[in-house]
Amino acid sequence: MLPDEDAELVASCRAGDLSAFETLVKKHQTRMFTLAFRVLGNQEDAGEVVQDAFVSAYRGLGKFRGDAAFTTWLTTITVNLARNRLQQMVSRRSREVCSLDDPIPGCGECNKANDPPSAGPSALELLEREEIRQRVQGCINGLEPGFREALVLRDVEEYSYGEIGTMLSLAEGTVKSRIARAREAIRACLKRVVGEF
Amino acid sequence: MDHDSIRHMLSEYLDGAVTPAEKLLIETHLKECCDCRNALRELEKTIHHVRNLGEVEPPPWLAVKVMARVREEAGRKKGVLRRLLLVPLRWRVSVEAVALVFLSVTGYLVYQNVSSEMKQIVPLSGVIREESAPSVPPPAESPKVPEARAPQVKRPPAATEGKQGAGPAPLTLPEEPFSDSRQEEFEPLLPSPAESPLMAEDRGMDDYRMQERSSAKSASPPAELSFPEKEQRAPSGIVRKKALPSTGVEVLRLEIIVADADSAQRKIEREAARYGGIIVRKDAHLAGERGLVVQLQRKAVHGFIEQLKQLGSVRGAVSEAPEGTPVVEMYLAVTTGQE
Repeated sequence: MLPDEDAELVASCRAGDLSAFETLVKKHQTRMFTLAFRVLGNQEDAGEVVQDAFVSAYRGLGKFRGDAAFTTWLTTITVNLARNRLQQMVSRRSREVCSLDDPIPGCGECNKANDPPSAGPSALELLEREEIRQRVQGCINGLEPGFREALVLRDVEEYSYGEIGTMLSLAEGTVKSRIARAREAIRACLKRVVGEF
Repeated sequence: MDHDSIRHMLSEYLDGAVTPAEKLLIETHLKECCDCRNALRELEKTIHHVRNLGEVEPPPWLAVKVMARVREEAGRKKGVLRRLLLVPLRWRVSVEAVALVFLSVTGYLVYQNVSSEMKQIVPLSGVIREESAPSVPPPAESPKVPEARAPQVKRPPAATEGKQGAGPAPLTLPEEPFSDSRQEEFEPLLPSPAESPLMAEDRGMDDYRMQERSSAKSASPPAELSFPEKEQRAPSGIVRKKALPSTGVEVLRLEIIVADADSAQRKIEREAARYGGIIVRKDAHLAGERGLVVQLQRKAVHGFIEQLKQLGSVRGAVSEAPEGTPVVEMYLAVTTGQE
């Protein structure tokens, strides 16, 4: 489906066509859910954030000027809501927040990073498994919220630095720095978790 | 550019976000630095792992829940829009203010109108007078009766001094007497020929009060036009709704002495109806005395009085009425006594 189709659907929504908005929801829900899940680290919160994001988008259709793609606008809403939710989560477990060098909270497997590398399957084989994916997600979860958003938007959603800066209201240099530090942190985390790359 | 700076730029280098000069410097450094080459390789793998995390399928209920909330939101928005757009608050307040002012002004005007009319309604005084013309002055060309010749009743001494007074005064009949044979020429005075005097009794006193209202505003009638005091004290008469249209009414007062006042009254009513007259008022008094006010066409008066004479002894006098007065109003005092 082309971006122009999104614009047409948005126009239909503005005219009161709820089925058009339902089409938009079905089209973008997977991407938004993935984004929210990568940022938040759990499906329950991701589901609630995505619901809020779509409802907010429906309320704000009148403000959507079409300067950017609908997906970019929707992603911005989702990321902002995910950030708010993440801050609430962080504040709830503020004592559990640790530095990037600490064991990853909420990831039992990741906490085995301090253990010596096992003599099992190679790292490449592990990465191909779902288990490794969970560990990568665990490493992402260990990032601070601002770094997490930037990393997900860049490496999961593949937005440009400029787009990410617009979405997060950050300077492009800040975005580059955050992404670089986040990648470095993930690399270090994965090295600890799965051993040698 | 030193080693640490190159290490920090490796992320941007992988994204192709460095300038050509920075790219040249980085690549030159990588050829010389083994640690940076290892770091670059690990960073590539890290990005690869993150990008290959793949999509996460949302729960199947997600779209359903989203649309349920969106429909609820749409309904709420539509309701709010309907309230706000159709009846904006400032418009509604304005409309209510205008309506309030309109109702107030209308109510005030209605009150003024009703109040002025209520002031014109006076209590029934028991005085029966001729039905006056409209209170506005008559046109100049209309014949105006001088005050000296205004309709008046010269009551006989018997009427003012009671039955114990002198003998019956000579009865002056209206002009143009005629016999009963001309009765068919009478123009009925009743609104409807089928309407009997008894039907007229069913009507309320309000109509009479309304008639009295206009005449009360005019000058008080001469004393000669007033009826006996006892009649004024007992204004229990029933009136006809419509009086005779006339500019002046000749008033004739008669006293009929009969053996049975009730029976005589009924007969008088029948005769009045037969002669096309109107029972304007009926009074019942103590001691069996009855009072009737009857309006008749002048030409029917003679025959009517002849019928009264058959009921009993008739006494009374007729005033000098203005010429051409078409209607004669007769006050009939029916008393019980020796004929």
